[in-house]
Amino acid sequence: MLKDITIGQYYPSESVVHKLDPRLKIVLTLVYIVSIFLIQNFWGFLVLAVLTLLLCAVSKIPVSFLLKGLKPLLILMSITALLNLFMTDGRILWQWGILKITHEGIIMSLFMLFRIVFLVMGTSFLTYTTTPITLTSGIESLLKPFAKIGVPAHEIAMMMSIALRFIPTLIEETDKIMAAQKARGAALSEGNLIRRAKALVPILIPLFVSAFRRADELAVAMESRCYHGGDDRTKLKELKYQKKDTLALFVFILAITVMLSCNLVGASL
Amino acid sequence: MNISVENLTYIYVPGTPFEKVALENINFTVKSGEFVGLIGHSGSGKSTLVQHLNGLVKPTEGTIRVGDRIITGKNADTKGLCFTVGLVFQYPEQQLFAETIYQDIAFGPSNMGLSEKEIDLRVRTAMELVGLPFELAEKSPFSVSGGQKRRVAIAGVLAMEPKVLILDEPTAGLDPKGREEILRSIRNIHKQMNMSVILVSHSMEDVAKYCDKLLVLNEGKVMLSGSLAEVFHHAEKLHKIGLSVPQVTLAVHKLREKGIAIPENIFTVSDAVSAIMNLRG
Repeated sequence: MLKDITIGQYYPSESVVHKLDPRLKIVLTLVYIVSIFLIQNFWGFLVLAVLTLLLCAVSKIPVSFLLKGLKPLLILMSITALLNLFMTDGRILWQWGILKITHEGIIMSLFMLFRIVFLVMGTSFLTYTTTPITLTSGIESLLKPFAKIGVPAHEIAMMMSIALRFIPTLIEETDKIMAAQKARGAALSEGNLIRRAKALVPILIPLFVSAFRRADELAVAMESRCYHGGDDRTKLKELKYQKKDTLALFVFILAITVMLSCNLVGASL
Repeated sequence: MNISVENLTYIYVPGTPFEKVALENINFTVKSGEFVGLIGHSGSGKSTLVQHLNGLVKPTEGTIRVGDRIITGKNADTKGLCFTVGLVFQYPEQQLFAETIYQDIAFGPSNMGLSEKEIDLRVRTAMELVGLPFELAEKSPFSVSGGQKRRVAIAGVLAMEPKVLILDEPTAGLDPKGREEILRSIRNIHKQMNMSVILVSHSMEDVAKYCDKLLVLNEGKVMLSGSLAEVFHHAEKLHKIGLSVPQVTLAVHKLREKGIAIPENIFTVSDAVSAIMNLRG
């Protein structure tokens, strides 16, 4: 059920990766996303696979946990793979009516599949190794320069951290309400689409009611502690860029270089 | 309807870093018509345990017997069990959703597939049992007071006419008057409908006043079980895990230490009063 969703979750563990500066991790994740699209052949993915396994070992995140995060994306992945498989022109290997499988199609669909898999796995390291609070303070710090042109950096970060803070609470709440309605015999996963949609009403209404109540209570609690956003607000934990961050940066540059230099080996697609 | 739990173990999300043994080797029985108190700290596994009894959570190991139904293993068929074992969650008013109180109470019975006429009868009976005037039926459940909301939610479970009624801290967050009223209606329901009742509670005073039998959970295990006298006899053991015996029982113990010949097993203020009157002769 809801407790099985691992994507976007934090994985508690004591590793070097967990302790890196969140700003560095955010920037490196962005660079990683771009570089994945620069890979041109399978050698690149092979290197990336090895690097991902190494990162798993260093950050003490079990590979099984990483793979579990892919589960919700299975449908998206299969659609992408199938579309590429049947829609790519080239040397025909098999044909039935308008459906055809080509040599290029097989390669293309595998290629796209790898791209999505590594995109998801690589970026999930960011959330697996960074607590939501450090993540938002990283984002806030990165957005600060844009405050001059009117980007409300602190407000955005505060909204994000409140939103993130309440995701587990609302999931728990949903679980509780679902259990309570099931205890009254609500059939949540039976019948056709319309019946299922109707069955959601007894869950969504109490959930909305409680979300509004919580929002109201939180606003009162914040005001009663004289919260105001703005510049002169100090932080309990200042972000510090340390030596290990520089080291991690160099390791990352090296890894990306090795990965992309594979483009020079063998034919590109 | 008898309930028996044998060697029940439940492990939460096994195989992840969040894995936790929530219940470990639990054994107990609740006989037909008994009023049982389930006590323990938050996090002791009370809520997980009661959710096993109506089939919402399935045992990792062990067996649960409800009447002649046997629930064992992860894939146990628990369909319809929630109509036999009615479970009122903590803060049940948070589950209210319908436009009118009537419709909300009718949600359970209509899920059972009963006829309109039968549903109407059950809603009326349930409202009467929890002491809600029928004039409120067409009001929105969000417009009535906190105590009344809770009654509506309890009525929603009662309307399914379960054989066993489980209430998870039904008095949490209510004022003393509200607590007393809710507990008194639960006792009346227990007597009138001849239901077995399991009352999950923090309050020793409450369980002492209403229950025949107690079950004490600590860290997912049964620490004590038996009659009131048997459980409250272990005052020190209870104290060690941060629970206590009723205040009046403590006072009686103190009196006995001072050499006053008052009987030991006194758990309610009214019993204490008559015992002391007896002493004076």
